[in-house]
Amino acid sequence: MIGREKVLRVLEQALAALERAGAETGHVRFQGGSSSLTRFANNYIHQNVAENDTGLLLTAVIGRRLGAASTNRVDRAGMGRAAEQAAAIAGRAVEDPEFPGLAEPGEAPAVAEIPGACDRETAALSPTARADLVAIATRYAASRDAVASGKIASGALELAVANSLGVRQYASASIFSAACTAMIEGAAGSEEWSAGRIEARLGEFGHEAVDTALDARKPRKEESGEWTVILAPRAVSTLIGYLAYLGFDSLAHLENRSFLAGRMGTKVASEEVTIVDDGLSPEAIPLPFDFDGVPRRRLILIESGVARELPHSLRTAKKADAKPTGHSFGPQAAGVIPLHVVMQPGEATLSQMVASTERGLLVNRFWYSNVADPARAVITGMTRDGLFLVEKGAVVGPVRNMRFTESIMNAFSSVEMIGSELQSVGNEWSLGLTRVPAMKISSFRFTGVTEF
Amino acid sequence: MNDSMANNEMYVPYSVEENEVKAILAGALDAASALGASFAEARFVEDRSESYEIKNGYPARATSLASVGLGVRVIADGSWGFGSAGNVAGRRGAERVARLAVKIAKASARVPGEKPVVLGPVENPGHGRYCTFVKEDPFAVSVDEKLGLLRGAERLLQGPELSVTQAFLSLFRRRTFFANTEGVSFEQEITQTGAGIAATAVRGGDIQVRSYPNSFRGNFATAGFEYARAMDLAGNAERVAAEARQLLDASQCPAGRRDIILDGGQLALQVHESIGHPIELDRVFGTEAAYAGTSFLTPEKRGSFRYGSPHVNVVADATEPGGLGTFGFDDEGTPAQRVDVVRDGIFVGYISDRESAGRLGVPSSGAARADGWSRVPIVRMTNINLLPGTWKLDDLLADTEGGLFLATNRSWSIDDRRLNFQFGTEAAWEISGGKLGKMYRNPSYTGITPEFWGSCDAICAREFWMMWGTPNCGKGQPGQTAHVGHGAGPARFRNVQVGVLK
Repeated sequence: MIGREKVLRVLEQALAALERAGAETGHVRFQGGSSSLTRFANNYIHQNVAENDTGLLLTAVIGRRLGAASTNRVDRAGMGRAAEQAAAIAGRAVEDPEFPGLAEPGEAPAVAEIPGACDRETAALSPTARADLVAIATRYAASRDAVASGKIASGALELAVANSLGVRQYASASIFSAACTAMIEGAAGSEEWSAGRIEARLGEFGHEAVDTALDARKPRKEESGEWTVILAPRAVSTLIGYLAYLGFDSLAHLENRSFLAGRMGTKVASEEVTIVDDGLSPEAIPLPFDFDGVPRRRLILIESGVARELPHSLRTAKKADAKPTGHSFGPQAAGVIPLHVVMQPGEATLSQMVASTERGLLVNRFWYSNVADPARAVITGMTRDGLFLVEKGAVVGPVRNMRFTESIMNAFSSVEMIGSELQSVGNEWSLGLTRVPAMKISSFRFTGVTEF
Repeated sequence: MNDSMANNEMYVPYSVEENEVKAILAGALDAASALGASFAEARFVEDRSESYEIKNGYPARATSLASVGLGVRVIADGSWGFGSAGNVAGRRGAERVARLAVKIAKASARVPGEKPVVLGPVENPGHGRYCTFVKEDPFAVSVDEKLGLLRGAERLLQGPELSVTQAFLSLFRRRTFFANTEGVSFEQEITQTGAGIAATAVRGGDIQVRSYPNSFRGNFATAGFEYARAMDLAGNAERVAAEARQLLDASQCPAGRRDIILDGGQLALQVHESIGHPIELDRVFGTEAAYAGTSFLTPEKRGSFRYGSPHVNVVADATEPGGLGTFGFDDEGTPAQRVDVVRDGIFVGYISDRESAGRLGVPSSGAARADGWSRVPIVRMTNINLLPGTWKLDDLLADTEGGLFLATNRSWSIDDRRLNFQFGTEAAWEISGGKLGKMYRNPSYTGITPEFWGSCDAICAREFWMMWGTPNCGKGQPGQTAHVGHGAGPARFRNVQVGVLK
């Protein structure tokens, strides 16, 4: 950790370098940190890595032309060279008539750092401590004749943004994640923890994965088709991730290529479904501002089934005649996507969901999902690490993994029950966390079966 | 470097002198050994890239990225450790990274394997230099010219209902200095260029994309700017725009079992997902089990398992000129190899690094590759090429009455042992009367890997074969992105389940 004062000094130097290089206005993003990851497989540590880096992305603005250049040589020479490159690109670039300008300071008060976002113990977790957490999982797996694989990752990051109009933003956050996949006799189970800080509950790390794998042995083949499904939180996180990416990217709305374009303010999901984006919660690796330097605010994405708010960058806000919400990935970003999606919990427990199901499938996790048809938000993917048959209100045994091909809108419109507990799951962008409950869906389409 | 490069305002020389790099590598290896490492390797890597995009007539991206740093991987107390840092300066900086790597390795030894880590030998280890042959250094081409190429093509993507029109240019350069405590060392510079165009057509509730020469930012090769020029983006723009709009009027691809011909671009990704990943020996041994997954291709299958029909021949070839997985040395110093993967339909060999190959008792296939200075080398594809057959495309179409021709990948998904896959493509055409007929939208097909390759009964000849670059292959934790290549031409598969989407 470099610390706020020093990072802000670096930003001033970078802005000065941009000015010397001929930029009329300039924007600088600082990203730095240390991260470590201890990886294990076959019940031992087989990869164990650490990384320290600091980097700057400098954007030069000349008229309505932009150029950007990055460097991880955070010294006078490195910054000077990047500034010259950024200005050289901007000098030759094409006018961008839709450039909204850089963020103005003081439109909204800068958000102070979020207390508790950066936990010192987590940031400084030693390789020895990570190894000892791994040993909890591998010892339990070995005692059950299972093989455990996974990771323990920890570290801290610093993010800061400044521009020549006076914006100055800085935040730091600690990160922690632990994941374990256990395998025995060709069956698998897994578990995952993602948080801003190390969790006390890790005393039983790996146990759930091993126990699931034991239960998943000797799966029987069930036919694909329409099924009632009970989705564990990690399976819900896949669907909600695609919902955020395909449905709530304001740039995709403006370009008319989102399936929710033109449907804001209308009912798009079951009434039980309320989904927000909360980048200020200390539980979710908060980012109190965006890469434009605009303070982030909480958004209601779906309220009781009705699509409500879109995230906006300076660029999309100008085009949509809206206000920026602090969700930009930077002046040249390709999309504006919520990173801290939270689905409001319901009242059901997992066992109540099972008890209420005449015949259905309990899905622990989806895997390798992809967009099959963006217009209808159809996603395809596989189940993984535990798929179980539910009959007459009880889990009766494991089932071979299946492929689903289903519209996420159909899924969120067929919600029968929502779990009462939220689980944090890391997202595709490694920034922020998604927090989701379990969910029971009355009809969900599987289109194939694999061989295990 | 020649004068024209030095005189260009955008050309930026490497930021660290060669002698300083060598001192850094020596400092890291000396320190690791002194601290008790039984093996150490150090890589000093400088990455540069540029990315340009013209979208709807205006620049959406003009960015130059640079990153330099040192990674040190060691074995101490029989276990692995790796430390890395950006912008390392001098011997002292190198020693700090080495000390971190040894400390981590000793922590790894708290949860050890049954035996200490053993590395297989490097045959003909690398000493010396390798550099991608480029006719026209892409980093020395002016910004005007780069943007001019894109604007010239993008402005021809015209027509009603085209909501987004895009042209892309991507440049990559990686310089690696490598040394290990076994005396292996090399220096290598890889230069890559990619470009493409895409048109998105929207009407009512439908979104359709057509791309050239491939989806997801185009095609990529180890080559210079001449590669982007030779694509003739402008010459293909009107067709791409027209086909995007035609897709809005096309019928939904019918469901059922059909004979299909895949174009080279889609087949390249089919090779990637259903051959390239399952032949990774680290997956086979379970070391990717928690993330990327394992492989159905267990060791006893080597030499006897029928992967596909006798028409199917596959090699892993890091020496193929122009492939996106082409290099001189892998990131353990093993020289680039061409190894057989599938011969006459029988599975014969994996891709591997020193550790996994040693465990199988075979030489490394030279496929240990790291995503820059901050990542460890893991088993990655090089160029996984489906070798050409003998068919001319016209003859193949004439021989496939009632089939479907599927072109250009749109989506991909496969299970964690690489058996059940499903792909979507941008477009399909009915094959009738020996020619491409009616166009279909939202085509998709699904299958099980060995059954699918077993149904391959015709592969087009070399004149229809080309290298396809995949610049976004993800694997490992922390995540690594690899640039890999696939040689492929059109091929036919019998009786495949198509039309999964309703």
